[in-house]
Amino acid sequence: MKLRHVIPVLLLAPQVLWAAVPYTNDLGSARSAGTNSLTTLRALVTPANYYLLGFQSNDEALQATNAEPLLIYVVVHTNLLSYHPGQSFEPLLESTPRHLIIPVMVATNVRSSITLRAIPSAPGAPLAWTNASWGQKELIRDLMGTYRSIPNAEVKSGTSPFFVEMPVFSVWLVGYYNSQDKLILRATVDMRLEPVTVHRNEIITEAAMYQLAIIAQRYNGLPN
Amino acid sequence: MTEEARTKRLNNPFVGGRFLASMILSGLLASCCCPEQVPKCENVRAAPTQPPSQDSPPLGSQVIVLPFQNPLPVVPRHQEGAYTCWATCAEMIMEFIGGVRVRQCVQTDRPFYGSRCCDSSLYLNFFDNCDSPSFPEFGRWGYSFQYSPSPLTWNQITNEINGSRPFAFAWTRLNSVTGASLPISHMMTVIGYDEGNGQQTLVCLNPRAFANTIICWIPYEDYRATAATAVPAANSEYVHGSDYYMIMPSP
Repeated sequence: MKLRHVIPVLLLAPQVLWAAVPYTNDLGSARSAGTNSLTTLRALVTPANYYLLGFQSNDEALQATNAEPLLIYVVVHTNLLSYHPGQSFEPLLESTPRHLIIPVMVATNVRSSITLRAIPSAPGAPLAWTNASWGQKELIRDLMGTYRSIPNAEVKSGTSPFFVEMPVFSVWLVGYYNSQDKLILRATVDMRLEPVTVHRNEIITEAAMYQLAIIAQRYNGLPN
Repeated sequence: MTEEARTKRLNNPFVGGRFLASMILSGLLASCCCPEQVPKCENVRAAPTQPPSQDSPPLGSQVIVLPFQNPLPVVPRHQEGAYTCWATCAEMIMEFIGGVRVRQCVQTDRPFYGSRCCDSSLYLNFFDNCDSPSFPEFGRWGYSFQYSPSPLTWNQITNEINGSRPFAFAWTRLNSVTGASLPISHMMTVIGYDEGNGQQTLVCLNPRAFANTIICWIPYEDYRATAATAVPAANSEYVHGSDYYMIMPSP
């Protein structure tokens, strides 16, 4: 996987990469879809629910704007199951990200979010995007809080952090490449992984990832 | 219900009185807004001036009575285990409908385990048998419910919410490229519906491990996707699993 070559902030459009990875023309389609989705989000806001959507008033939604889309990589469950300490985290992630999350801002404050999912499009055409969810104020605040906690000097030049989802637990991480070109993952919430504990914003160690793998091995297919 | 289960239930201080007041006790709520896992708040059913949240501001000492709200003011509860989304959903639903929290550790406990799933603060112990994926057991806690392997219609959903009945559903995530099942099933609680901008959406409480439950709006089309309509055919990366609805205290 060429994950290290990917610049997750779509603005930066690198010259690399995988088929179906959203860049250049796809950026435009993602932004356009995000704009349409913001219109829907505003229409969803009512005096009874603005707070749940993350806004501080009913009118605040009218001032909301989209930030740049950020890619979401999903941890492949079968890959997680076989993780062992000493392995890189790269093979855990899906090779082609198919999701974006767009922070919804009021001035410089993150209030809410829009999640988009790629859907099939004609060969050669820009990726098409559809709405996956709105709101998730708790999640976007966690993600952006950790994102902003990462020292700039720690992130490889020319790259930006991105988000990582572990569907089996609905756990979210922030990932980036450090100056040694190593994939780093950070926790966005405190995680008790007996006997390991990882606190919010801390780097996920190999021991912690192994504990996650051990817990994932217990998954039995029923709802979680 | 077996005699043993009935005895256990009657002896359980957290499952005694069903249907506490439907009266609104915002004054009590104001003082705490039920910060998570605070026992003294456990029996308070309230309808605040704005929907409650884990980080809601204090509400003041107003008394407001509303016939029903959309979204329903279900208190989001923290998923205590890595795998207790189903118990979190049931906890939130039963607290709203019956006025009493049935803690996740109590739900995951089994008589032959003794009481090992709860710690002294009624948090879930992380033993394997206590922190496992499963299905809600509303009947065990004195609630009637209906089960549907098919997605509810829009009309059914609006009836549930307008009737002040949050409900739970499970869906299975698919590989967004191949359509193959990952296969990871997840349960959420539906607390409302919306049709803004012509987009039919469900308002959900989405539990996640180690963190605050997320409040999200999802497209109704995604909720009701079946294997025939999901990816790669195009429009969803989930396949509907099951619904627990019409949840009410047993007569």
